[in-house]
Amino acid sequence: MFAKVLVANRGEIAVRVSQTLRALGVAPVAVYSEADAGAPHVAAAVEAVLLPGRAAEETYLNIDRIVQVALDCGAEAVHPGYGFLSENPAFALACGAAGLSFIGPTAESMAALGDKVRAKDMARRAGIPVAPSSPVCRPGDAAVGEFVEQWGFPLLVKAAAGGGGRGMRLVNRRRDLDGAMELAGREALAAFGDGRVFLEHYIANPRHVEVQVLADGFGHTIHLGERECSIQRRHQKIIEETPSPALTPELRRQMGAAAIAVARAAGYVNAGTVEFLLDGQSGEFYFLEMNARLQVEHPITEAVLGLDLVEWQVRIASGESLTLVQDDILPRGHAIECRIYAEDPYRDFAPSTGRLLRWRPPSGPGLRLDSGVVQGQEVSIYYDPMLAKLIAWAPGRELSLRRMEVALAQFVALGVATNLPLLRAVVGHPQFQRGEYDTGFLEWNPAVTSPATSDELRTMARALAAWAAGQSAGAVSSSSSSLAAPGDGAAGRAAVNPWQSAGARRLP
Amino acid sequence: MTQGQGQGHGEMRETYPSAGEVYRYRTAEGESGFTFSLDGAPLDGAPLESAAAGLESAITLDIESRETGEGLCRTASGRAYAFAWAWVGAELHLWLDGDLFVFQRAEGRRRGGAAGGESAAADVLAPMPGAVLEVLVAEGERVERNQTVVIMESMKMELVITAARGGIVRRVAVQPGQQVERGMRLLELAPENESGND
Repeated sequence: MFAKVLVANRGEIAVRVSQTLRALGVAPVAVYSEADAGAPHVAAAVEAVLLPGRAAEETYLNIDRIVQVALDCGAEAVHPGYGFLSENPAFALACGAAGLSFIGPTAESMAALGDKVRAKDMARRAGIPVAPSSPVCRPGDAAVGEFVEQWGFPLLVKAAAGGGGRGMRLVNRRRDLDGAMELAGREALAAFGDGRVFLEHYIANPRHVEVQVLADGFGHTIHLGERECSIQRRHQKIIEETPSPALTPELRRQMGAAAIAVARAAGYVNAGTVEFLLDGQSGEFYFLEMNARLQVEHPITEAVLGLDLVEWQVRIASGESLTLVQDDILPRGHAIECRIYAEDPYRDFAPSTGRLLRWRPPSGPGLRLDSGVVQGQEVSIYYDPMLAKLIAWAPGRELSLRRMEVALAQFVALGVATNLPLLRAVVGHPQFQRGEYDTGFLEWNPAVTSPATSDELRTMARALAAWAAGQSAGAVSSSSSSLAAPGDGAAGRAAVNPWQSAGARRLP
Repeated sequence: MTQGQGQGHGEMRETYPSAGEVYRYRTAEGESGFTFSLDGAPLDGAPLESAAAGLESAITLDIESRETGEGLCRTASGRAYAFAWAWVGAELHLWLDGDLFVFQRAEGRRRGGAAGGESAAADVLAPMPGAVLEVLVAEGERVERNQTVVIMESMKMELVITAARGGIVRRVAVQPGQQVERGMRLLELAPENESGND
């Protein structure tokens, strides 16, 4: 086992990784940008090293700098978390070249899986069903015409290097295709430094189900069951649950076997996730991609299995073999995760920045909070707007949903807009509760993205606002204004209110 | 404005989750608690826009404030609700039973009113800090209300900036690649000769 590990990330995942490292008797070292001095992930580590600058490119994406920090502090390994450099083969190679263990798959399998076109070919060869797609192409190429001829519209334009919905466009008409390909290519170039795109047959209203796999360096690969991730906004997951309400034991077995086949074909080592699109009606599923990293939503798998996935990542990277066998994997109960974002669900999910003036997460039986923020912290423009993840577990699905609903209603967050009311509306929605949903849920249910406050509550809110305004009209105002961030002058804030802003672009 | 104790009255604007409504209220603190009533009377002859539509006009709350910025209130029926509030600049942010509400003191400003705010309201401002990706209009061009005029990138996402009202682009104040702060003017719009009815 390692003695010291550098955690090359920020936010909740850096906190969470550090916690496991400490529990294993490993010293975690944090890195942080100038915007993150005082962030919880700094306090979670035993040492912290400043990465000069604020922008991600200068800091958490700065390979040379991070490798140097790891060497300087005497770390033996690097945990990349998710996002940032976690799926960057160049980073894994740079770590290896510097004599550091990279806690994740090899650069080779990462490169093969990171190229969505190559990954699909690999899955196809392994006998796994794959959504029909074109080779990499440019507007006007013969391959474009052939694909359209065969599969028609709607279709998806996707980035070969893509992920997380970036560089992806839904195209309904021929005349929109060239523009969409160019736009997706530009977005992909900006996001991944690779502007290649391809076309994929659009499967309407699929469910998004993924399977967690774990593989050691001795050829032993198991799967840890599925996660249902169909509740998405802008093609990004916001709610996940396990087990999936859509899977029969037979389908679960088939998808698990397919996930293991893909992982083996990729020579995969460490924790990874194989994503599938599932036709909820027919039960047919298609390989989408394999994510060569720890997923944001891994805690729900941990909750039903009683395992620590980061612990296994570290053990495997340090050369231990997987002592679990497939028959050990016996999920118990049901778990659901909600991702809490600083964004306005009623204004096209526009990101919201500002100081978290109040932040009081709930607690209770079966609840887990993975949080990257504390009260008083500034939510900046520089990084992802996810603040925390709330996870609820219970022996059965109904109770775990209830626990989640209650907890969301008790979650106090003030200072930035959050998606908490939206999450609560979804978890409490009858269709969601029946398990009848797909990736189009938010589109089919526009009511959940509109404020749904009862008249009684609104009147009460107005009354309390009048009362609070009266309270702070006098002596109390000094203490309440001290809660506001310095520099948050009334004039600046009043002139532009984030809730009146234009919406973020909703990708098709 | 209201006082901490006794009688009070004032005008507030609800800006979130439903935007723009000004309401006038009266408050009193009595034995039974804090009484609040919406005042449906017209303000300076201009009817209050749905001020009391569908809402009870009066409510009595028993408010227990455990500490500044937080408390528990009970309705007449005895049901208890937790609440918390904080001032964010001139905005009062109120968390109540899982929902967020934002208010401003109306300070005599009327909805749909002209004067003073007109040119500022017509300009297109950056809603948050970020980088300008594209400017889709040129000086002298006419834009429609809700037309996309600028694309920004912020927090790793593209933000589509639309014109809050129609007008003629008097000046383009930014160029692609430029970093902008929250509230920075992106475009100056000259209002067309129309009743500034938003």
